[in-house]
Amino acid sequence: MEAVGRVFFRGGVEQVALDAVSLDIEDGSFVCFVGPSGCGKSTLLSIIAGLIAPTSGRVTNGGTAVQGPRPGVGYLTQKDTLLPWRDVLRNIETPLEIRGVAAAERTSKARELVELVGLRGRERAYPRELSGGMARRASLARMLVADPELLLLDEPFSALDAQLRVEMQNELLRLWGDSGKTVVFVTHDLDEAIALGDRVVVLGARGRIVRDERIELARPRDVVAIRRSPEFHAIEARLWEALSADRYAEPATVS
Amino acid sequence: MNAKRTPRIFAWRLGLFLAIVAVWQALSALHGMAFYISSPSAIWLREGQWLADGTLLFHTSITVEETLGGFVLGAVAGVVAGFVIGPQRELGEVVDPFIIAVYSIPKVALAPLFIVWFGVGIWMKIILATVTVFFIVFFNTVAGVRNVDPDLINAVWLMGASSRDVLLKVIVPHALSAALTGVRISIPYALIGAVVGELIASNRGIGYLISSAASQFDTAGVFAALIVLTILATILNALVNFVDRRTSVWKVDANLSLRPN
Repeated sequence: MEAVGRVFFRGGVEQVALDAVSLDIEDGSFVCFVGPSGCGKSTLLSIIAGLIAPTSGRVTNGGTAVQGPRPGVGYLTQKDTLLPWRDVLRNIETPLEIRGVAAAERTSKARELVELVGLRGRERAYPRELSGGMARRASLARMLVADPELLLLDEPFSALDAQLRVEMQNELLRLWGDSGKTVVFVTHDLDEAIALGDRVVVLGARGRIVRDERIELARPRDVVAIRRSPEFHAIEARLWEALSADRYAEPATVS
Repeated sequence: MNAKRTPRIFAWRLGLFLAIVAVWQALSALHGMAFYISSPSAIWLREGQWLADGTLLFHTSITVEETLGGFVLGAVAGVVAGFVIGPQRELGEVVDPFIIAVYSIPKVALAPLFIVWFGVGIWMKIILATVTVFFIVFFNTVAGVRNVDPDLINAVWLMGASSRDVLLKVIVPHALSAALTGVRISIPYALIGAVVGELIASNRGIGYLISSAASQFDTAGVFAALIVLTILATILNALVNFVDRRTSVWKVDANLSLRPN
């Protein structure tokens, strides 16, 4: 699949969540969207996912227009959406179940994922019995089990404490590795965006792209070590400037 | 901490119980008081006498039968009605005020009507318990059907689910777990329904035992029957806690916006 997501969107008159955002996302790249809350990052992701339709413009994926949820896309939200009445293994199996994969095959596939995200021994635990980090791992496994080409992550680690967040960021980079999957990662944390992404797109307060920068930091990366490099600081300073310039350019509007 | 605390709490409880019994016994020895409050020793004797002549077993089994019958009928009807009415918003909006109106009637007030319809036998008590249980289970089930977390539905949608998948994998399990909460809460209410029915018109059951003893100014009998009732209620509550512990791991906290209380 040639995963070229082209997003062109113009919001309604009353509330402009996103204003004429247009960009190409290359196959296999890790793109981070960063911006203040309310800038329309999550809206953008929902549109790419096909969960909501744009009021104008269109999203295409490999040449065809996106109309509703489609296979090959994994979506991870900030909030855990594991089904409370299913244990970890059965939760991870859910996407396969929906695709009609045979029971034996989906169990063995789910077990592989359990292993991959380090949840062995917790297969029979219910979501309520999991810590925040374990629930994240289970969600990640559920997203990956159907082997999606495009991963959409909406502030996936923002509810975790700092230490766990770093751990999960490294985990994500490890899993993404050379998988060839495309990742679209939304965050309000500039450091996180730079540490993870091949490319950081800064969205301004009115849902417009204020900066689109390639991050030429070597891979594989360690999200802690990378934060100490001078290149990292230079990029951060540039992007931070872009963010604040946008903030003060516009008069504050009541939302 | 807890291991040390539990025996101490238990010892205090036992102490308090013995103190109450002792004070009760002492007070009953005062002139004329035994008529009003009987005495622990007299109640104990009555309990033994009822146990020996089969009175206790007979009346308790009647009450248990009515409670269980009402509980099962009410729970089944509540779950079924909840699943029928819950998903249909418009039908729900039409019938909601009527259901709330019937729910608001104190169930005791329905007893005379049920006597006309079902006679003074066991069925009138079962129906009274059924009605009590029904509303609790019904409101929980409807809330369970209606208040499914939209994020869960979206998550399943994004996996490419059909409407049928959403229904079977999200809405039904959520509603069932909410219904189970209702079922759990309603167990003691089934007992209330049955005993109220017996108090109003009956010649058997623990409620009857209480009212017949009272009409003969047999205070010891009243207390003896009340103690049996307390034990029965305690057993039912223990059952509730047991069900609760078995299911709380995956149970959902349904937002009971519909349940007037």
